[in-house]
This record gives sequence, C-alpha cells and structure tokens, in this order.
Amino acid sequence: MIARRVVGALAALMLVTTACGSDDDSSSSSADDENPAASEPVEESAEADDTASTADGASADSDAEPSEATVVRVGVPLDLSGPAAISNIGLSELSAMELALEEVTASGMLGETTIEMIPIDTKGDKQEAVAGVLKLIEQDDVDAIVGFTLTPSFLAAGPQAVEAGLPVIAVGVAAPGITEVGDNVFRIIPQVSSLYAANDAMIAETLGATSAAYLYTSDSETTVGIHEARLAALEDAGIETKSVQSNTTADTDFRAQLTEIQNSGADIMVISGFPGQFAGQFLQAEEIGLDIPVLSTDGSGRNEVLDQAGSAMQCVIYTASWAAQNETGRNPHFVEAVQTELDDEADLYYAAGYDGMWMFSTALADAGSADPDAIVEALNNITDFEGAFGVYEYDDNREPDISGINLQIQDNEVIPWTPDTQCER
Amino acid sequence: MQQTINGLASGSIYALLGLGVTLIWGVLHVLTFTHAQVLTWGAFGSLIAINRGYPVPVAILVGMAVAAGLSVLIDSTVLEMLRRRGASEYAFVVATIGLAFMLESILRNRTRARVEPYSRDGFPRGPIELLGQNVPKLQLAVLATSLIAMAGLAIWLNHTRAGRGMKAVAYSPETATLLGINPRFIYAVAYTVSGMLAALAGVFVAVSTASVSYSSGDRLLLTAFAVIILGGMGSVPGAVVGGLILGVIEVYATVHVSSKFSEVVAYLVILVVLLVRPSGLFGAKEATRV
Repeated sequence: MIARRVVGALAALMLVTTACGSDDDSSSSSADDENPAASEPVEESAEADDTASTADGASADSDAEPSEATVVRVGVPLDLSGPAAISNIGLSELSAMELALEEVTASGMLGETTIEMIPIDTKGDKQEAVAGVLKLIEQDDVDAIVGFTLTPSFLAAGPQAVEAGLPVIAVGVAAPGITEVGDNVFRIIPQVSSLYAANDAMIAETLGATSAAYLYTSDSETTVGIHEARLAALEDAGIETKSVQSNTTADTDFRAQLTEIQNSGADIMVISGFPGQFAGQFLQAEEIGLDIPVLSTDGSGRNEVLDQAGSAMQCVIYTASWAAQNETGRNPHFVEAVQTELDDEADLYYAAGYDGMWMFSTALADAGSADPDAIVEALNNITDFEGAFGVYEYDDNREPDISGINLQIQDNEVIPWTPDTQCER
Repeated sequence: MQQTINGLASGSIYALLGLGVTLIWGVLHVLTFTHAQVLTWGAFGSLIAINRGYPVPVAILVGMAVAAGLSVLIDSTVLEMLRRRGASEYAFVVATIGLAFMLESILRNRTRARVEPYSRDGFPRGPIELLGQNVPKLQLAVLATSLIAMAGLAIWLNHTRAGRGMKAVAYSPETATLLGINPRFIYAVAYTVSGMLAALAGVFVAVSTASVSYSSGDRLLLTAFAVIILGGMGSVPGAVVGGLILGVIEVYATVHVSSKFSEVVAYLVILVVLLVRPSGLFGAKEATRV
C-alpha cells in the first residue's frame, strides 16, 4: 500500500513537471502575440532577400550598413534556470548581450536596422534546447542564433539551426568540435581544452610536480573534454596520474573524492569544473587538510567564488581565455561597462555574451543584410575584431584565434602568473 | 575510516531531512514535496541573520524559525483547506508539488538566481586528527549536532505530553480528540518540528558549500524519500538509520564506482527496498509510528 502511494506520488511529480514544461511553452508562444512580425515570416523573408541583393553591391565596403529599415531577429537560447550553478552563467551571458546590444544601437553602426533579441530558456536541458531552437526557427522566424550556455544543449539543438541555414554564434560553450557541426557555426570562447593542454604541463613542471590527481565534472561535455585533454597533456609530459575522481553538476559534497585524492599522494590536483562548485570544492579540500598546489579551471577568479572560498583558494593557478587584466581590444571598456551598467565585476561569461552580440552586429553591418549566407561570409572575413577577449578573428575552422593567459589567486586577488611568480599558502 | 566519517556526516544531514518528512507522514499521512524548499528557505533565513552580524547559534535559530513558520503557514492554509474538503492523499501530493514550485520561483526571482555566499565565520574550520586520520571539524560538528537533535526528538516524542499527543493523533485523530487533544495543534507542532529539522539540514548544506541558492535543496528531496522508504515510512529510528546508511552507501559508491552513480544508488535503494521489504527496515511490526 505504501509502495503504491509513493509510486503514485512520484508519478504525480513527473506529471506536474511535464505540465510545467508545457506552461513554459505556452508563455513562449504568448511572446509571439506581442510581436506581430512573428506571424509574417514570408514577407520578412522576402524583405531579407531584397536586402541581401542590395548588400552584394555594398560588400566591397566592410563598413557598409544595411540599406533598408528592418528588424533583424536574433534567437538567444540560454540556460536561464535549472541548477543555480548553470543558470548563473546563462543569466550573465544574457545581461552582457543586452549590454552589447545597447552599445551597438547607440553607436548607429547598423543605420536604420535594429536587432531584436528573442531569449529562450533552455533550462540546462537538451530537450528544452531542441524545443526552444525549433520554436525560434519555426515560430519566431529568427535570422540568426547567438547563444547556448552548455555544450550538450548546443550539440543537441545546434544542428537544427544549421539545417535551417542560420548563422550560429555559440557564446558559452568551450568544448572541442563545436564548429564541426556546420559551416555556419562560429564560437566565442575558444576550445579551452587546447588552452589548458598547452599550459598545464609547463605549470606542473614549474611547480616541480611528478604526479597529479584529477577532479572533474562528469555530466558536462565541456568539462569532460577539458579533463581528457589535460590528463593526456600531463601524461605526455611525464606527469603520473595518481587518482581520477569525478562529480556531477548537482553535487555539493566532494569530501569523498577529495579524501581519495589526498590518500593518493599526488603532487598537484587538477580541477576541471564549473565556478558554482569551486567554493565547495576548495573549502572542503581545506577542511580535510588537502594542501597541494591546484590547477583549476577558468572562472575560478569570479567574485562570488572568491567571496565564498576566501583563503581556501590561495595560490590556485588557472588558465583563462578571458581576463580583466587583458588591456587589448574592447576589454578595458567592457570591464568598466559591466561595473557601471550591470553593477557587477566582469568575468568570462559576461565577456562571451558581450562579444557574441558585438560579433554578430559587426558581421551584420559588414554584410549589409540579414541574409544568412552574407552574414556567414562576413563572419569569415572579419579581421582584427576588437572584443572583450582582445583582438581576434576566425581561422579556417571558424575558431577564434584567442590565446590564453595564466592567472593565480593571491590574497583573494587575481594576478597574472609566470614561472617566477611566488605565492605563500 | 575517513570515508565512513564522510558518509556518516552526509547521512546525518539526510537523516535530519528524512525525520522531517517521516514526521509529517506519520502524523498527517502526507508525503510533502515542499520539504526541500523549506530547507532552502531556512538556509536563506540563517544567511540573512549571519549577514546582519548575528552569532552563528542565533542565525541557526533564525533559520529554524523561518522554516518552521513557513511550514506552519503551508499547513494552516493550503493543507488545512484540503483537509476540510476531505481531499484524497494525491490532492495533498499535487498541492505540495505546486507549492514547492511556487516557493522556488519566489526565491529564484528574489535572489535573481544568484548563488549567494554563505559565510563560514563562526563555524568550525580545518581538520582534527582522529585515529591517525584528518577529520574535518565541521563534519564532526554536523554529526554531533544532528545526533543531538535526533536524540532530543526521540526523547520529546516518547517522554513529553506533546510528543505523546502526536503519537495519539498519528494513531487516530478522532480518538485523540476524545482524549482532549487538538489535532490541528498537533499538526502545527509536527510542521514546526519538521521545518526546524529541515532548516538545520539546510544550514549544514549551506555552510558545507559556503553558498546557498534557490536550488540548494532540489537534489535532497529524492534523498529524503529514499531515507524514509529505506528506514520505514513514519518510523523515527528508521529515518535515522536510513539516513546514515544511505550517506555511507553514497560515499562508497562515489569512491569505488563513480559520483555519476551516487543518485542511481538512491533510486536502487528505493527499488530494492520496495521489492524485498516494502515496509522498510523498521516498517510494519517493528515500526514505531509517531
């Protein structure tokens, strides 16, 4: 009897969860009602085609503006709810995209053309991502997709956008293989696995390490890719693997894994995870007396992480694709704008969202129309793009040529790290 | 040994959660899905007190008061209306699921979905050597506090008038009324105690990760159900033993299999117990319904 009640209750939970998903779909649909243009996809397509032909003539001038007053609709699929560790990232990306769009609009670089962002919450869930992107394509009739917080969501939903022929700029994903999904896919955050692989061995050797233990988040394509690349690079450099432990994005207790790492006797610990879990991991490492150098992941220097972890993160080293200390490109302005406009400290995820919208806007201005092929061509041809990640452009594989920077946390501050940097724990 | 202590410390938090759920089940026969949210709201209550400079013990009490108040509010409004209308058990389940979503939405909007730092100042820090092992002081404090709370609950249930009244209402509200016991008062007491235990667990989770967010309690709801099914629904000693066993199983599953499967272990425990012993470890004749 009790079993039947419990099973019934759990079934009810699943039903309600499903019902809530339906509610969200309904609310998304209601957004169309507020936007009459959504019901006129054919006319808008015709307008886009006309504009494209105009742009052909203007394509020789990289500063050409779209010649007709039009609204370019950009779908923005991001994880805005779900586990806080993930939704925090998606919300940062969305805020920064809105900030960038304000700046683009104020600059007048698009002439009469305006960009309308259509955010959709993918909830850290692949099925939600697919449903959301299909809605953006079929109902909202977007001209491009600029978004995606997590690699699994992108890998599930990105192909839908590729098939629809839309330009796609992936803002938050950092795993390998993103641009291989289609010739119209670009990315902002570089393949961080290659950044880490290039830097970890040098850092480990500088620290005099001969062995390493690993803790990585195992339910994310991004962190699994990073972990595998780092492990391979360090083993290639002769660093013995003493222990490999994993956690999931929902975990809050890491003591079991950290105890195993402590018992392994490794010289260094390599953490590949998400910022939302760093504080717990480092504080619990401190609790059990695990006192070995740590090579962490980008995002370790986020303010909230440092606020939470305090001295437990002293001397942690990590390689970042973005850093506030980078004074090239639009970064100094970006750092200040996040502070003044968003009342927060800039970080990787703000930077990714910011550059995503600026990159698309620049391509739109260069293309002179919302025609997908013209925007893809413009993205391929952009040179010396000035963004929050510095000055960069896309290579033949549509990967941004962004070089990383090594950083260290000292006394709750993030400073550049070099082999000569000293740190006292 | 260190991993066993890790498991017992996690398990003691699970036991606190399971106790709250089993108390509500035992007295009201309601499987409450709001418990994870009560935990989170309690943790936020203590966070506000800590941020305002109150000492840790006071902050914990504030958190417990917030969670208790919220629990009683839920019971005296939505659940009381359902009781008056003679609603089925499933109506209570659906109502508490709806309330849980509502409470989470409120917190998510109020906190702008941020992960809030939870200060560890005033809590034990660092390790202490015990039998040649580095054992975190915080875990020992969690374990000790949880065991004291559980012992206190057992004494209260068995040796106080209110505790005995709760047992009487759990057995039969009608009979209890004839004995001069007010069931509505007992329901409120059950929700108060349940909320306080949830808040205590919430504080331990928050201080453990030095953070709290609207989703802090999400994963723990299933764990709480696993605990009471393992221990026997409505059984206080069952919740304690179930929580501790589950904590140790999860830790060893994490270390020797993978943390990817630690939640699977919880599901497996539910399945195996339902198949082999539907009444749980302390269920049926051995159970002591509160």
